[in-house]
Amino acid sequence: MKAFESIKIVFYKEIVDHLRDSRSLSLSLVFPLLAPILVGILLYFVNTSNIQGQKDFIMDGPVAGAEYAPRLMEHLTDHGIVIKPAPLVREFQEDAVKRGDLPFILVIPPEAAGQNLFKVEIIMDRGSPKSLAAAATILRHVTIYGRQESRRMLEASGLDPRIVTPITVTERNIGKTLNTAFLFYNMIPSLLTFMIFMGAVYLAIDVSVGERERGSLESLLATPIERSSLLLGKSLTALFFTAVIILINLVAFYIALHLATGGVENVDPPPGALVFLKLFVISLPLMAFAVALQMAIAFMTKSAKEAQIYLGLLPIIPLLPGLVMIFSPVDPSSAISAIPIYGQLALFIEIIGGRDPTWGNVMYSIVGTMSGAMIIFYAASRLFEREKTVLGF
Amino acid sequence: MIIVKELQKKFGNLDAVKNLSFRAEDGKVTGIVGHNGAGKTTTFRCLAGVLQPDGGQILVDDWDVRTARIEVQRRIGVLPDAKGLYPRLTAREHIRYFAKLYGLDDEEIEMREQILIERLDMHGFADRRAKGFSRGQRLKVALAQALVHNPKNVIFDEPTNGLDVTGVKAVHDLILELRDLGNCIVISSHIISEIAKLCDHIVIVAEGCDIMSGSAAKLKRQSGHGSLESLFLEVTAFPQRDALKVVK
Repeated sequence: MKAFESIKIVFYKEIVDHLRDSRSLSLSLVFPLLAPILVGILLYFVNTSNIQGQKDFIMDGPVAGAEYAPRLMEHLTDHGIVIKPAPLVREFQEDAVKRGDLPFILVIPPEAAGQNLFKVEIIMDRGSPKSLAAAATILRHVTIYGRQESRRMLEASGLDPRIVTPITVTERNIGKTLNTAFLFYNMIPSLLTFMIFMGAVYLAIDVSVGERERGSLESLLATPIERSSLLLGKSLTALFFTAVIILINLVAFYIALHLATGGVENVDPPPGALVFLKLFVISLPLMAFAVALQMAIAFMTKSAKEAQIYLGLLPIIPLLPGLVMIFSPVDPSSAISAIPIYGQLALFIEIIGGRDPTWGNVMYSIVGTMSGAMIIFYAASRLFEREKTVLGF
Repeated sequence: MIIVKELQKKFGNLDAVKNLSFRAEDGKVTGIVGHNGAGKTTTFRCLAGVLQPDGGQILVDDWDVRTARIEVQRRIGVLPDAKGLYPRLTAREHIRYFAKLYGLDDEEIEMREQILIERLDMHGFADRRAKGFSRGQRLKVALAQALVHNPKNVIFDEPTNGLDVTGVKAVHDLILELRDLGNCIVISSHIISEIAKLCDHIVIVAEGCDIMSGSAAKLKRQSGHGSLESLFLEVTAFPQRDALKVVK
């Protein structure tokens, strides 16, 4: 019998067998939906809260001695700060901020009454992000008020107000106002890589070490087919299910991100269908690499339980460079593209960012990863032929 | 015909099979009998091409298992010690899967499937998934897998292990039927009465070596024992076994 025929027989049997495993199948179909749903929900809340924040900014402003600087209070109120009374005694002020009862206190001394030039103090807790953010906002508004007062006084004195600000800077933002969405889009490469290594782990275990534990391996090995064909048929099954899981994962990301950003203005739109299609194509060699690695590891273990432990940890390895690359993207070069996992991550980030990777880099990625997959598959087939694999000891 | 010459198999420092030889003729049932751990299953695994022998030679219809594993496996049907099934496949699908692996075409598969379901009385569960099968049903499926390509040589490792009386009788009948059809049959067992009843030729194995071999009558006569059981107990416990190689 030709090797191709044997591979086809084993592949078909494994597909039928695993399609009937309703519990594992439904789990493996639900699993790739989790990350897209979570990312979609987070993105939706971040977007809506940002927009709400921009449209109707309101913040409590605890002030001690508000009556000494009525014009400053008017300025703050005009900018969405709701002036609230704060303790007047220093000790109580510090306690209130320290305990977190108040995010900060703007202290205006009695000497400020009726004065144009006066000092104010902001009591804040730099160890608390909430206090830090609120104090930064009040500081910005007080500084703006100070500048306006300075201009007014200079004009009243007949001087050109520009002498205090000789250089005027204006910003021109060519991006979207809310670019936080991009942070979420940049999570896709690492989550996708995680899913590639995690997706069909249960199946890789079942068709390898599971076969021995079930007691069906010996009958199978007594049939007149090459062991490499047997292994390839099983590996192709794991590859097929990984590809289906990744397809579901990418479609779910596409839908979740579009739902999360739909109707929200000023947000970078999520990647289109073509981008997701490119991600799928680029990830195919990595799927082969992941399956070969799963098989090799599974055949090194003595039981399905042991295989579950090792293969459960496997996705962490590609996840680490992925997480680093969210915040510190690497420009894909031919050398980086040829490195399995790392190359795909670099290309994924390029594609997600709306840039088309060069054909050269894509080819390097395919050749590099497929070469790695074949080397590992060869190692897996050698492990499969070991007597330890057959006997389990 | 199966010929095993001075077979050796080691697992690390353990000599699973030290020096085992026997000859199983066509149209006869050859029984390998020995205590647990005597080397029966390892010998069968080597015969089936599942394990590679470290020394000696195994010939199946003149094909050497070391140099022509695939040819040997085409000519041999194996019922292994572990008779595991795929719980999500039906009995019929098991038969079909193995028929395809043995290279049968669709017409042959159809024919062999019908014959085996009929012969092994599998009608009641042929289209049921294997999950929840009784021991007897599991054995029938495993037997069908082993016989699907109508092999000239069959090796059954502990074929009646754990079966009830009806199951044991059905397996015995099948073995005798295959013998009458001219097949070469090798079975292993640690049940002396079963070996005595079924086998034309008996090989007593202990610590990886063949100690005695011959027909039941010959073994009893030449050793002077009244029963095979007492002979077996004595020779497998006796330290100078080589001295007892009376019939080889």
